[in-house]
Order: sequence, then C-alpha cells, then structure tokens
Amino acid sequence: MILLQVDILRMIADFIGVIFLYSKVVLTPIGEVMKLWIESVLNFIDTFIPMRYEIYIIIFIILVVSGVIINYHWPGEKKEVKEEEKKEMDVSAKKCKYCGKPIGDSEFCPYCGSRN
Amino acid sequence: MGGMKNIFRGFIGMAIYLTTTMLIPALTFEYVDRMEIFIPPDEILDIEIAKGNIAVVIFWLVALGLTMSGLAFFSWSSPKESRRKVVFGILLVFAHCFYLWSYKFSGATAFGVEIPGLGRVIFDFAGIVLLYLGAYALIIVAKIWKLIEVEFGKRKEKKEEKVYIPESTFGKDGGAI
Repeated sequence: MILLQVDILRMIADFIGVIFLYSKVVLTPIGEVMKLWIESVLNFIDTFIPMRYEIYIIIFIILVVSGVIINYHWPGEKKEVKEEEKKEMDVSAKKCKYCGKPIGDSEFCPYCGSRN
Repeated sequence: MGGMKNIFRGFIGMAIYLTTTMLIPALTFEYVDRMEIFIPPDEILDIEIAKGNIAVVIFWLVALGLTMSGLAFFSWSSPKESRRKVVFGILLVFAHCFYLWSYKFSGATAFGVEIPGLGRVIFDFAGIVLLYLGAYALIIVAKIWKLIEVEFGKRKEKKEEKVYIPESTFGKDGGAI
C-alpha cells in the first residue's frame, strides 16, 4: 500500500493489471488444457517415482556432464575455408550463360559448347 | 576456444536458474514458514502455507529447480542457431510448466493468514498460475516454430554446399572428364 503511493509504481501496477485482465480471457483456457496433462504427469511422478533428491541430482549431473562433453567437442563453429579452396569455389561457381551448367574457369561450356 | 566460451555461458545460465528457481524460492518459503509477526500486546500473526506441509513444497522446488538448471546449462551452452539449443529450450519450457504447476500441486499457491481478533484471510494464486501456463503454451508454439526455422536454415545451408563442384571435374580445355 505504501509502495502504491509512488506514482510510477502505481502506473506500472495498473499497466501489468491491464495486461493480466485482457490476456486472461485467452490464456486461462489454454492454461486449463495445459493443466490436464501436467497434472497427470506430476501425479504419475508422485506415484511411481520415490520422493528422493538423489534422482534429481543424478539427472542434473547427467545433463551438465553431457552438456560439457557435447558442447566442448562440437562448439558449432564453421570451418574456415582456406584461400585456395575459396578461389576454387569461386571458379566452380561460374556457370554457362546459355545452359546454366558449371563451366569452371574455361571460356567454352563443356556441355553446350557456347562461348562465355 | 569456442567450446570453452560455450561452457562458460552454460555455467552462467545454470547459476541464474539455480538462484532464481531454487535458492530464492526455497529460502523464502522456509523463512515465511518460520516467520512470526508479533502483534501487540501479546498476539502472533500466523501465516500458513501449503497447509503446514512446507517440506513437500521445498522438495518439488529443489527437484524441478535442479532439472531446470541442468536443462538451462545445456541450452545456454549450445551454439546459436543449433538444433540442440532449440530442442533443449523447448524441454526447458516444459520443465517451467511442471515447476509452475508444482506450486499448485504442493499447495503453495494458497496460503492463509490468521489475523487475531478479525479472522482468517486466504490468498489463492491458482488463477495466475493458469495464466502463466497459457503463456508458456504460446512460448512452446513459438519455440517449435523456431525449430522448424532452424531446420530449414540447415537444409538450405546443406544445399548450398552441394552446389560446389571442384575444378578437377573438368579437363584442361574445359571439357568434362
């Protein structure tokens, strides 16, 4: 209540309230659907998996260790193309003006014989 | 070098999740459960969370908080625009849903305050939880869309790589070998 006496905070609170009010119409029914499967999964976990911290600690360790291994070995960096290969790629990308087939660095098209 | 950078990023993500989903909520519940507000002359304001079964709330917070932190580590440490980043991002949103519902599941969304001389006030936040679950459903759809986008991007990249024909395919005079 004391915080709401600050104008800016009251404005933010009103703004968030409006967002909640209008999104409630759309989001709450979707949330109800989500609730169905989440509740059944949690009930399953609660019934069949013992309430022990060890299980979740093991899951955590597996995720972290596999994350370290996978992301260390495959960091997702693209291989740098060497200058020569780049040059070769540029040449091979040259295509015939008439038939559109690759002609390398030659003046004549090996497929249709036309001069480029 | 890039691998170490990725892992460092993963550890930052994991630390954020461990703090925000596990440590702060668990400590808050623990503190609120023990808290005693004295009302003069000699009365105590009693706040009851999860019908006094705070251990269940903390168990689910820690269990799902740990799972989420592990998933966050994997997701944050994966390279940008990679399939694994998006897939683990989706799994993380699913874990978020379970985490959020665990509050309701363990009874933490409703708490009562016994005000001496006035009676009992009960707060129920289940409606807000449903609202958030709806928002998470939309996030899941957006993430699946992102996965499709990444997949198409990868296929396009592969196609472009296939266009490359080495020079050795042609003879010296330009004729095909």
